[in-house]
Amino acid sequence: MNKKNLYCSIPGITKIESVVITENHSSPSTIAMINAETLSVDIGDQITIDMGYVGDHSQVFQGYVKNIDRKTPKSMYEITAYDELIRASDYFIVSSNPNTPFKRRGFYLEQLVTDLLDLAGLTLTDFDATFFILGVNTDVEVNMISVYDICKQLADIVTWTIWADHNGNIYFRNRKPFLMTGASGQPGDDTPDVAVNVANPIPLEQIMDYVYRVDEKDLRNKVVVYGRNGIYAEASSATSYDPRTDTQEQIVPTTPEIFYKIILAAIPYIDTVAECQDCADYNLYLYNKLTESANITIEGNHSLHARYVIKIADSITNVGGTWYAYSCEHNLSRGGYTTTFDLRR
Amino acid sequence: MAWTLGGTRVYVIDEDETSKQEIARLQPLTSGTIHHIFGWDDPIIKINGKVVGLTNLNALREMRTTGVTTTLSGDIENRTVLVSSLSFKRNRAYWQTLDITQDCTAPVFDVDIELYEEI
Repeated sequence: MNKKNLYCSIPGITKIESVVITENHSSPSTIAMINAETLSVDIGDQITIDMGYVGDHSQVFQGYVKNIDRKTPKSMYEITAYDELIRASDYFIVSSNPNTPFKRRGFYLEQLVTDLLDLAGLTLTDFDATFFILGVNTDVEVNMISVYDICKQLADIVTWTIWADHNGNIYFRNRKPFLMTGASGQPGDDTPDVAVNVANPIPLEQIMDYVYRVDEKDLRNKVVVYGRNGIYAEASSATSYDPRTDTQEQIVPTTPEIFYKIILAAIPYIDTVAECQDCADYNLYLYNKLTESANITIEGNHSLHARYVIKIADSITNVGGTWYAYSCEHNLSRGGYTTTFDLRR
Repeated sequence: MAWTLGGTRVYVIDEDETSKQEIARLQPLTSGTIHHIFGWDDPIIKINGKVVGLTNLNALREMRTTGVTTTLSGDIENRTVLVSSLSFKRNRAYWQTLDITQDCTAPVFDVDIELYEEI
């Protein structure tokens, strides 16, 4: 028999009934939902969540209380907290004088992200060099937009990702929502992904259920980018990447002619043709592929998170092997502690 | 030892107690059940007995609405409890000799009381 005593500690919140932490590759913030009977924290307070099992637990969340519901007649509190990056979503950039907005010229993209996060009181803990210069010919002006939204727009130019982890560290990296090979030639993609649990993969004995899926819903095999002052570029490919075979294959129809599923990016911060072309190439690499995914639920594992590369030791089902964790949900309640992943590769 | 609830005399006939641990059962695809222990439910005590006189009955009825803990005493150690529910039915007795401090024509009630112990 396998028996474990659950553990959950949130300073300022006691008599905890349930905790659900939802992390997602594409979400601005990780969200924690806590049901508890007593609390001494208030809106805006910083909280941490340490959970797992007695003798085997770790911090899985750090963020700010944004909402408190008191439910009667059960007299329970439902507390909603968001991770550190919520400050970037909450900080709306508005110049007092519309003629003198926040602006930069000739800056590396990661420097601009650093400066913008600084407006919201956030420090970029970890980042790579994009080698991508913005505002070469004209100023990049930023006004009437939240810090997160502008940072996300900038990240989308080079198809990078900005996120905060469970310890409050903020990252800006070339993190694609699938396994990276280190062979794309893009900055920040230097080595193949290695699973964080490569020495101790998740065994089949811990998997409660799974769904395996392949689809072409997000596939785009042509990208058009509009920059400033009439600049534009495009990139396309008749073949698309199939992660099941690790080859480029004909996926969209080719008769009577090549069929393009097109995505358009209009980015006013780009003002050179070369960068417009880089942006198109990066986005084609991101989108021109089949999505191979798996939803699995395992016994709760507090050491795994979204944006981790994880390995599943299973030769029976389709879910064995190395995956990118697109989303991760830690759920601790009377029903036990489970972790649910949306995996991609 | 005489049973009292918050100082009110109750002639207990039956007493039973239920308590349990919250244990989740997770079932992996290919191995035995995993048990996750979440915590435990404090005991629920059910008392069946008799109460003599309206004054005593009303004292018990009062406890249903205050939400204040009270003490259950009897042949077990004193326990701090909340009165969750009380149901009663008047007994078809013309004369009572249970409680000699009260008039022999005092009404007798059959009561069922559910108590949540606070630990």
